[in-house]
Amino acid sequence: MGNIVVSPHDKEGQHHMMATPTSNNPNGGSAATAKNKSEITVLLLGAGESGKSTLFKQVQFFHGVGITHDQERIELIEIVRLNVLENAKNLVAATQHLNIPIEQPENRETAKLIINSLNTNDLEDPSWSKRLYSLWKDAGIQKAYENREKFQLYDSTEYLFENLDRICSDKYVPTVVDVIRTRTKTIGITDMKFDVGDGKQLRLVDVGGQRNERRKWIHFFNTVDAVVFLTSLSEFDLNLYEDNGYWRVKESLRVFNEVVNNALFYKVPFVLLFNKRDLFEKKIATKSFSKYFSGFNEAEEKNPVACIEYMTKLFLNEITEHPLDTVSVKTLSAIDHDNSKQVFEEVKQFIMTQQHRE
Amino acid sequence: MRQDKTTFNPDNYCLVYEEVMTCQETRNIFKEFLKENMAEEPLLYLDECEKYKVEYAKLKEKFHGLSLMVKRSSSVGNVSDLGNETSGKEWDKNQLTKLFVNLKGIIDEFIVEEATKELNLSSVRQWTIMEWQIIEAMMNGFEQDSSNLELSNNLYRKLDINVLFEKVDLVVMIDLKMDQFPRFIRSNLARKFLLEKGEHFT
Repeated sequence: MGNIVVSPHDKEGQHHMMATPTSNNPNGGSAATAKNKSEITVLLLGAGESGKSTLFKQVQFFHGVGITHDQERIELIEIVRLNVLENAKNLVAATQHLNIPIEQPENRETAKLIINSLNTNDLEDPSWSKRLYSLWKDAGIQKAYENREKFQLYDSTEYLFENLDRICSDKYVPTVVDVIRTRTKTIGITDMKFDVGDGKQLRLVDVGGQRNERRKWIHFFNTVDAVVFLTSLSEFDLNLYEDNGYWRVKESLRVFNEVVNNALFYKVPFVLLFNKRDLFEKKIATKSFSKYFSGFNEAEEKNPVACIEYMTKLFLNEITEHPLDTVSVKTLSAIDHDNSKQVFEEVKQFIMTQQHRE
Repeated sequence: MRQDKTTFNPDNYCLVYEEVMTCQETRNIFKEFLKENMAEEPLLYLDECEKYKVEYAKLKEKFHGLSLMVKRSSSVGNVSDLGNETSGKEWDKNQLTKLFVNLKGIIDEFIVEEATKELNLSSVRQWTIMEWQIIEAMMNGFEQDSSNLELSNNLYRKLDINVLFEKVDLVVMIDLKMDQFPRFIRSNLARKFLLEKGEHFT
């Protein structure tokens, strides 16, 4: 593919049209027939923890399904609390692995209970709010948290600990933001449908991202009309959940390569979303970006636009088969409601426009 | 399950994970839902484990020559009394081997990397495989000297999946409960079931 010159992130959030249109591909994918279909299937793909389900939940929310109803959020109380416990357990376990002692004796007691006996029902008792918060603020736990690239921890940790006073109460009802922030590993597939005008429906399909889940993707590749591929900008210092010792960026690039160059997608509009821009900007303020990318100019490493530009090139260089004029690149903060709404609207427009071009 | 009104409306009912999993009928419907959503392997894994646990408990009864009350979820504690009173007895080599082969079947089908129904496990997979390798080594020793009672007892203890799969079970439970189950209770399949069963289903 040679050198691709890109301007990766423009402020208007516009997509990037690449040159070299190729419309006469003999192995044309399913999009060729999409024009007359009443249902447009859009697949959310990406490695584990890239934000597919977070975006999916946001789209559900815009369309008034799922988490907008009180009753459905009440059913998620246990899930939010399980997240709190998992985060707490992971942090306590990390202090042990990293050999960082928990400083305060009462926090060490709390840590013991977390590992041995604490369950989600216990968290109805408001006294746990104080105990868990005190543990979270313990110098030992905070030190482990600062070193969180060395173990697996959800992005939601800080948010959940800062909201314990609401969560640890018998009156707790998860808010929409709580549900968006809650990490749930997706297994299998799930979908939703909504009208997009012209008598057409958009079917959005969410999938699991870990290696074993990716083997299932192929089953619906031939019915897809567009692909939205997510990758996390903030994963540059992280290793895989399913293979601790394997760099997440390498995995994302590999998965992207396999998907974008798949013959079934030659004629399918393809969107690459660089997610977790919010976390990424926070992270590069304190961590070195250039340490992980030998080809990147160290002097630019505190400049998010330059970093994202570099990442964009890295990903687009993987494209060897897919026509570049049907690839769009955007950044996203999927936990941000307004940003998700705006970016998803742009994605939808891009896909619809591509459909009409056929 | 709870009911708010006298006329039946499935929206007023709430299926509880533990109840769905213990009732064979609802468990099968949940399985059907998981199959449609390409997420059936956790439940298939749990099915296989339950079959195995029955075999495991049977062997212990046989070995003791008396019918012990073995709880379905028997823990290690129950096995630790093996040894003292068992001198002079020998494990049935074939049956212990069969147990091992059954367990290997579960490992190969659900746990190893690239397994046909590989579960979505994290570092738990590596941990479990390491423990499994210890069991394989013990099995080798047992094949060479099946009259070694201490080795046989240790092997039997190690073949207890309440211990070996403790971490796997936790991941599987959390995944099912957090991800697919909330979607299942909102699904047409679950609604249809509740409508058909109406108020008689408790």
